[in-house]
Amino acid sequence: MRNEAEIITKIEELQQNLSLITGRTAEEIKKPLKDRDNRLLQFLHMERKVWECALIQMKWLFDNE
Amino acid sequence: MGMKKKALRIIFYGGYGDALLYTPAFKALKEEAPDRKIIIYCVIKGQEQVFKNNPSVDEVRGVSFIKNPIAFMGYYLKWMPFLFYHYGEYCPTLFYDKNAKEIIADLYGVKLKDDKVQFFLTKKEDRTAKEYMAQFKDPILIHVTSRASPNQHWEHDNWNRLVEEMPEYTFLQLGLEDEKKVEKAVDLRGQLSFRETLGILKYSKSFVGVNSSFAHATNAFDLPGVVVFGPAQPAIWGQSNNINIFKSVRCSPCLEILRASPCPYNRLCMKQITVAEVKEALLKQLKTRSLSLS
Repeated sequence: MRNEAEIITKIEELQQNLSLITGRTAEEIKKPLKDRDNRLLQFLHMERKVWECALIQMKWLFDNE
Repeated sequence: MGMKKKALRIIFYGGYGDALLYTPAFKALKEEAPDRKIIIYCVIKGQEQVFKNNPSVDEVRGVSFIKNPIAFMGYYLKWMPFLFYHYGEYCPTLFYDKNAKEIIADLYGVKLKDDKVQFFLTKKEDRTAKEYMAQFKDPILIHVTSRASPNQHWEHDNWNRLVEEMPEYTFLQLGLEDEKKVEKAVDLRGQLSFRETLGILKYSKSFVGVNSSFAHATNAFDLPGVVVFGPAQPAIWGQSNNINIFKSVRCSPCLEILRASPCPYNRLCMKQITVAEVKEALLKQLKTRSLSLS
């Protein structure tokens, strides 16, 4: 079993990844519609879901610890 | 049997690398029915260079109406059958686990007895290439730019370092003029045609580069090379004659998701590949190749 500190570190790491993605999304969304890279936005959306899901799981684990 | 004698009209769409990957399937189609004529209509100008001199291909044409009025009518009025399979539409990176050459063969309904890329130089091209390469000491061809996606690029400084660390070899940089120059490499960017480039590939000691048409072309000459992969996996795009370096990261392969859109992780997969391991692989490949240009 992982200890509390390890889980906290992992959560922080996942949060960093999530903020990287949300930051990049916000940057892309600021652009006028015609200049937006939709392929990139779809990828970012998918990635945001990955990190959010991972965070939910980690928080659940942390609550149980 | 009567059906087999009818001409097979194939509309080809794709890059130079794709064109090379189709050639084993065309060979298999020809072997299946040697009397059947294979006519290829190239949508993009220049692609015909790949099929020139290929014994499996009877005719290579463009798609202009002026030059092919009957074929045009046949296509639009559905008088003639045309095959138009573009394997890229099936997102091989995401949904397949076999080499692109086999996927293409499956689309045409043939099995590959020989999966080698087919490319044929004329005698004159061959001679010219051999003479040209004789001036260089232990020539290694290098290609650092992927036209398909910039996410396939390895850090440019890594290429500079690799060339710097191997001064006993002559690195010749291939590609187009707008591609970034590798310091200390002999600059051949924009100077040779595609066929000329493949000619010198045949007479080089090795190849090192990204996943590009030249990486596929090495297969035609069994040239032992090294190819760095990231957004696309070697299982699909790699050639068996090369050492294909691939570091799988969680989000890879993504080539068919992101295409040319910038990677938000700053090409993490490509950054995992070190100069030391590319150099080691290249030295290993160089030991396997004996080359005589005299």
